Amino acid sequence: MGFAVTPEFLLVFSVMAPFMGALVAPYLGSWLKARAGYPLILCFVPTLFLIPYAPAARSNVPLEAGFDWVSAIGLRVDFRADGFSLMFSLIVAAIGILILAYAAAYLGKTERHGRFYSYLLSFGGAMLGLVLADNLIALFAFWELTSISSFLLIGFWGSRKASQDGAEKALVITALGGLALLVAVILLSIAGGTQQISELDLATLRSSPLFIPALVLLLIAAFTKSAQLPFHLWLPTAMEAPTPVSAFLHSATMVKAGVILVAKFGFLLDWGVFSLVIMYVGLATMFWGSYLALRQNDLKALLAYSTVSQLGILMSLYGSGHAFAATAHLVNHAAFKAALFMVVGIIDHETGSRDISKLSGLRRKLPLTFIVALPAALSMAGLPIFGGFISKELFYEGMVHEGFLPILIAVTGSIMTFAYSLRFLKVFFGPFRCENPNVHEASYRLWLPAAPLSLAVIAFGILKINPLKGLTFKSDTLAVWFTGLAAPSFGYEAEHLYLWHGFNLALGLSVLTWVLGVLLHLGRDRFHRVQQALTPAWNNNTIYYKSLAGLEHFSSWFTHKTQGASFATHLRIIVATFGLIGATVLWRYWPAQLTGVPLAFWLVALLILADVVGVLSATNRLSAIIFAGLAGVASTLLFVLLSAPDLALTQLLIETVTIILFLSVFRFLPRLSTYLRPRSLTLLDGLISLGVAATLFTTLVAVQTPIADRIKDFYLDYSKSIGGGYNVVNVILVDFRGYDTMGEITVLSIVAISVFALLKIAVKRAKAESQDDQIS
Amino acid sequence: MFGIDLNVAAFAPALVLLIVAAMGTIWSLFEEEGRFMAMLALIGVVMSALFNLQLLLEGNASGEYLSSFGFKYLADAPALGFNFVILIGTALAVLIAYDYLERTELDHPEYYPLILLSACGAMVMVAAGDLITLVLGLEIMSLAVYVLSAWRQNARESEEAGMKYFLLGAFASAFLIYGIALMYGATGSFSYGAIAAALQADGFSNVLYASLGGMMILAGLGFKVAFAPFHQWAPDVYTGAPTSVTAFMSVVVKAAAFAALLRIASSFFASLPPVLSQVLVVLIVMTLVIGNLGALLQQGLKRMLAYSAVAHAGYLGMAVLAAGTSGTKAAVWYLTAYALMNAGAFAVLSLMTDKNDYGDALERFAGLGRTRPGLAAALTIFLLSLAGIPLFAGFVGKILVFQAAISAGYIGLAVLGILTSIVAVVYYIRPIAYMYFRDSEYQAPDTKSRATGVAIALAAIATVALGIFPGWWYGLIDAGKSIIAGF
Repeated sequence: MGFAVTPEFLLVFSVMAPFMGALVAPYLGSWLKARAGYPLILCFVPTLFLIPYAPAARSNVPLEAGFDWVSAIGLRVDFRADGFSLMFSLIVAAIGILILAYAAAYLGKTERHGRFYSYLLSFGGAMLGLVLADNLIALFAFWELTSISSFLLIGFWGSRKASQDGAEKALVITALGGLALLVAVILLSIAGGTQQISELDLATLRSSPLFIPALVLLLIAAFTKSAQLPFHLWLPTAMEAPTPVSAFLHSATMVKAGVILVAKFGFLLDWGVFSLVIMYVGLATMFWGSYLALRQNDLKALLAYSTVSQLGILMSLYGSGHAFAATAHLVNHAAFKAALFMVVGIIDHETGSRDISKLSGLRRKLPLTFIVALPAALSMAGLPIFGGFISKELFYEGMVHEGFLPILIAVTGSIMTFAYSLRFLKVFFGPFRCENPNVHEASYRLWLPAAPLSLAVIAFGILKINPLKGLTFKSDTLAVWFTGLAAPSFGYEAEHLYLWHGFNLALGLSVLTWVLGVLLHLGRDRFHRVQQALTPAWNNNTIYYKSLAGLEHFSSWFTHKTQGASFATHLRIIVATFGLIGATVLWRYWPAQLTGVPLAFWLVALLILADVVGVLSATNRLSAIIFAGLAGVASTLLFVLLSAPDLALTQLLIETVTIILFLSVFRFLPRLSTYLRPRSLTLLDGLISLGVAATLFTTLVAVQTPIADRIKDFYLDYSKSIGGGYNVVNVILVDFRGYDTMGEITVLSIVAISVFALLKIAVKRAKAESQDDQIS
Repeated sequence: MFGIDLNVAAFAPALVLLIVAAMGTIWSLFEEEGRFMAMLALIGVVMSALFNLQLLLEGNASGEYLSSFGFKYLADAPALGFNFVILIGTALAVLIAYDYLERTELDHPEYYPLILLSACGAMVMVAAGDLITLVLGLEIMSLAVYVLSAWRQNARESEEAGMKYFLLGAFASAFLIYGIALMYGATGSFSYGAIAAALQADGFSNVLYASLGGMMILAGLGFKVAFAPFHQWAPDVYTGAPTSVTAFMSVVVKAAAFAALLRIASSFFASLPPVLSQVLVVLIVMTLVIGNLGALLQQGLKRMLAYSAVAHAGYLGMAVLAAGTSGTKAAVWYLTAYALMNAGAFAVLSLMTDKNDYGDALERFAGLGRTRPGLAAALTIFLLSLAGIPLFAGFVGKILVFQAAISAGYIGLAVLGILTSIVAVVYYIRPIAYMYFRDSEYQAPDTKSRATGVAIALAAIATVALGIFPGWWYGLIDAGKSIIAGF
């Protein structure tokens, strides 16, 4: 029987292949250096082989595969290539391939190539797994893997301070979200009774009290990962990563994970206040991101804030149920953002600068790069004939339905988006200006990987030219196929993507956006001054650092307070807790009656009181130990009163031996008076002792004779007939609990062995030391 | 009614350790060299593991498990699972010690018999179906460890550690025994099953006594597993003891004490008033908070791991709360993972410290990723696993424990557990950042030890393997049920 590649195997393999590549990458990296990126492209190819299963996914018969992970508790890993998942995994794979090709040209000779590719591939694999996962626990596992691999990638240039900070910030914030997701998936699996996402039943979930907490946590996870307000601060600092990583992270991986979560669980989240919260958080993020993007002088930072803003759009669209518009924009954004990051990488690579204020006219020196950048940037701006225009129209249409405030925010944000897109393009226009005069066009190996993305941007927007029917105003090509693929996942009708919608409100708003956007671009200097004036004294970043410092401060205080305490303090805490626990029980189960305390008990109590006072006020060790012995005497007395003479005798013997042992050790110890104790401490000790003693005494009094009679009778009855002896205590020791006695003997032998071992070592050391003395 | 019930097979794994320990004790009367004894100890551990595996497979196949001494000594699935944890911890401690003791001039052959005796005591504790057997196991285990913590004879910390551990341990034993006495007074029995039956019987009126007894037992065992506020000894003792002993203590002692707690919790805690589990919840909350915050600012890896050990006791405590359902299996799984990753981390540490066993400061780990990539990679695996990151064993353990706690209705506690896990990520990541992202003038010691290397490699491989294929081990411990302690 030969080995056949089943579709199920292909599905699992397409997730596993990048991980396998990650294992090979270190060796390839040390052999081929940067060029190892080219053969590693193969790792994303299996995903492309899933394309033949697209029609089936389209008609809602998705490919499914899975295997048991921990079968005993039903932990499985399941993958399901439904339309949306398949669509996005194709994006991940396609951009992954281009990024690998780009990185192979981008990375310098001295980088740690193997490690870089290894991280990058695990990142891609984790993302594929996350997208295709149909199992709550597996989803969480891949989610965390993206956090870790991105942490490694962002901190790749770890010797830079900013890199460390960026990596740490990304990890802290996304790990916070990850743990929220963990609780969310556990709650969902309990509430829904299954871990399979596709089997979650909305009605069952809604009837569970765990549903709302699960949704809240799910949202926290999505917001942290997709950099929504107020968690957006990690994304701009994450640009410290090498540029190929940024291109991947901002377009197809990592930040999209939160959006995907909201999309995947859209059927749960589409519920009253939740969709409103998602929409407004998304819109606020969109507004704030584009506002901040306008302030940036660093090209990469501009793009980073632009991503924050675009993620806001996606979030608000998925949240308010405009899945079609959202999916269209998701695809567009992935294409143009990856292309733009690659372009910034090229600019940085060739000119050595990313500063907008120091660069201009690059079109003359980098014509090909410019050709690649232009469609992408205009698509970001939302101009027709590019894909970005179509999805922006859809965005406007959706927001118009939501009311006045949403569309107002959407338009304002888009005006700023338009302005910053122009600002981005500015570096290509005007007279050539650059600190480094020797600027040459980049190698084709750098711009070629970006080119297909720019083509895609055009292909998504361009009119379909049908030679028979002439010009039709609809794009019926790649874009429809792509967005239509996701249709069964959201239940929307596979619409055509019209470039021309007719004269409607959305078009009018678009024109308004362009006009105001150009005005804003022209008046940018004035606008910058306003922005400067409006800069608040604190922002999320300062809160982040303050809270980190606060945590550090608190735990420093805490460490100081709780550690390095003396042994006596340890004892105080332990004994006090012991007393507290006892008091709690006593308080809960206060006995019905406390009468009839025999006189003897009071006598014992008095002795113990004297013991406490005596020990605490003793000024030398001898009197302290004698007072401590009073407790023993009290026990002896108790045994005598309860007619157990043999126990009393044993107790007395032990007391005597203990005192002798103490006395023989005392001569090695310094005088007690050398340890000064404040009076307050003595008082505290007295209170603790008396408190514990009172608790236990009350308990003893409360139940003086539990069921001791029954126990006694048993041994008295059977001592002779079974044990064959009249001395009941002896029979218990050697017969009824003979094995225990054997165990006790074992314990004693171990004590003997241990003491012997310690003594032997001490003698050996003393010998060695005296020899050393003689030698020296 | 009182038939003789002496089933040697049931306690064969412990007996093997006892016999080898006895041989070792005699051997060390005449010998100064420890290495031969180490080999002998390893052989003993392997034999014990084989007996244990045989018992487990046989039991799983037939569905019947052995017991001995009239249900005072149980060899059921949880006990056998815990035995494996104990044996893993013991083997790693022996492998770490092999060269480490020589290097730190602490090599005395008595070390190994004491380790084995302690492991034997731990096994007795795990198997105990009776409170007296529990105390015996506890004392056998603890006494040897008291001595081992003071093994660094030239270091004040070590002597202090041994002394502190012994004195506080004596207190804990006193609590435990007092609790047992009260429980016996209330129910007239020592065996778990009989106690549960007495508590559930109609007309049981000694609720106060029984609850107080239960509390004292809880406090005594809480000391051994280092629940706050009984955890005070742990950081000092873990730091003061020789690293190999710390590895042993943090795994074996903890596993045995948790096994005992779980057995008690699953047999008769539920029949006691709810105030007990309420107190346990309070202890766990304190443990989670104090352990994680305490670890946050430590500049020494050893002390950080000591506090992290306290924190892990908190997570395991959640399993105790769910002991009636899936808690026991979750705890066995968690402790298996914990044994590997924690002892592994200590093994790496033992190669990093100076000859006098000082020097665990984080600065020393700077640049380790370049100077000793293998060691750095292993420590990274252990730390990520301890932090509960997916694909490592610790993650599955955390999932199991949280799941158990949530299904037992302790959702708030699980959420706190997850919140504190975030804090934990910070302190586990920090050494990794030092190793890979920082450079230092300090030259890492190039201490090499084949035995410790084997220990590290085995622990690292197992940590990853258990993380990726957790089903195999869970299947083994899940197949069997525990013997309900009988009468």
